[in-house]
Amino acid sequence: MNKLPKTVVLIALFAILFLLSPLLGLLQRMPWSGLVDLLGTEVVSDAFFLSLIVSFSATLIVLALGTPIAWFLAKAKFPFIKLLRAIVLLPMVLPPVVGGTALLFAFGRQGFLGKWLNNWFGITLPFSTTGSILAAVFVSIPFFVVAVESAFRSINEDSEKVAETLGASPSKIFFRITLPRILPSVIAGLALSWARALGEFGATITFAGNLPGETQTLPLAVFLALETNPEAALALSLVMIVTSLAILIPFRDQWLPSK
Amino acid sequence: MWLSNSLKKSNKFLFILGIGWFIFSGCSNQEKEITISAASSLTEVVSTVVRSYEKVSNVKAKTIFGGSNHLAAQLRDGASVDVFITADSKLLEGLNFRKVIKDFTRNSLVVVKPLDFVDQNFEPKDLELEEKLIAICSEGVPCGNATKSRFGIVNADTYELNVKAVLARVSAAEVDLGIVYETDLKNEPKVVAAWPQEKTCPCVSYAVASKGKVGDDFVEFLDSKIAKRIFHEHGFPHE
Repeated sequence: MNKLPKTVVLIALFAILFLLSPLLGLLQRMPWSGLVDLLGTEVVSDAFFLSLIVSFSATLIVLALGTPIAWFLAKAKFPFIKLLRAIVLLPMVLPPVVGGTALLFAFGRQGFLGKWLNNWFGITLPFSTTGSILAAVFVSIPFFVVAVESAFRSINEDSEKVAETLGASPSKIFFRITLPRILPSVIAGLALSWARALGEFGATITFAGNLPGETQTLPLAVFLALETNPEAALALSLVMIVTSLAILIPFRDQWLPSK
Repeated sequence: MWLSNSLKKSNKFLFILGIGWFIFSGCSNQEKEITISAASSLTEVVSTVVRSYEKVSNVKAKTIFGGSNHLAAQLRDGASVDVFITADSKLLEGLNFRKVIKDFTRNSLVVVKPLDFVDQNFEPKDLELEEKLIAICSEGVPCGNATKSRFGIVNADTYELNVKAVLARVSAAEVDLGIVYETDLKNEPKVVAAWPQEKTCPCVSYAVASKGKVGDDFVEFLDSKIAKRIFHEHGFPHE
């Protein structure tokens, strides 16, 4: 590898230091001595397991729904495709609290779809774990779509065409040829959207509410604790940091293989 | 015409800037400034009091409304205010206010339902039922602590961080019942009392804390006839 220019190294180190300092701030305030007791409380363990359930379920749904969206946006040709692409990205731009309010207007008990769900099937999405998952899917799906759409667009279709002339069915072509080739992007997209789902706060508290064991995920527990029990908030943040690092470190090597 | 001809573009810009500076510096020389943070349940009443204070005093006021715990945390982290009106006097511990008036005014709790459900009948034991969707304040924040000591265990579906969030849930009819402040009934026409209730305690008692001359002057105004009338109009007792 060539030697890196000194200025680049310097700026990179500065930038990393900038990203690291809030983290150091957290660690320096961490109540290490009481940590075991704080982590053993029911609030923390409830929030931790709920966060795992919500973020992983959301990621599975994102995979199932996001892949077709990405494929469609990459391949379909019609006049409003640019507008459609922008609309799919909107949850990334919207303040999450606005996203949560919008979800209420759609799926809340008085929402135009939620009313119907409630009257016909007796389903109420807000104030349930399903509601938390829905909010997480809404905010995290664009991260997956962006990663996978560009992969769909960048691969050339020669192999697919050959397979087609050899008589392979479209679904066989997709699963046997296309998907394996874009796998690194799919994994990258999954890691990004999982991380977004884990950290999701605004849309969840607005749409799903805050009930321990049901909708109170780690970020909600942190926010509540910040105002009432700052030490518990720090302990909860540590749980989030450790969890994300444990998942993201191996994942990142998957999609950006380190030499 | 002569002005725009004689001034080049850049000069014109400087000219406008100069006028702007002249006006703004003129203002800040005449007026003193005061920063007031107050519990979100006092938003309407304190805003009204502040407006009439600005008229009589030539002081420019900046108001910050939020959950009392949140505001107290801001103060601990170095935010500077002249007056802090909190729904829980315990939150003043460790904050260096010189003057503190405890139990300045009070607010009782009331169980409310959405106006949309005005024909539906509820009863106190509904608060214990699983089928009803109920929003209350989270324990730890003033309205949540008061809810706990007044109503005991409630089968809630969501614990909100401040009373305005509970109010928003009820007014949007996303929940069947919510527990909010008595005074919220006056300010939010889209909620009604779930059943006839009396104003009783355990309730929330507000404390007023101030520092500096600017702050103390405002607190003095809070005891004026005008301020008392405004508090009464908004449903707050004020001797």
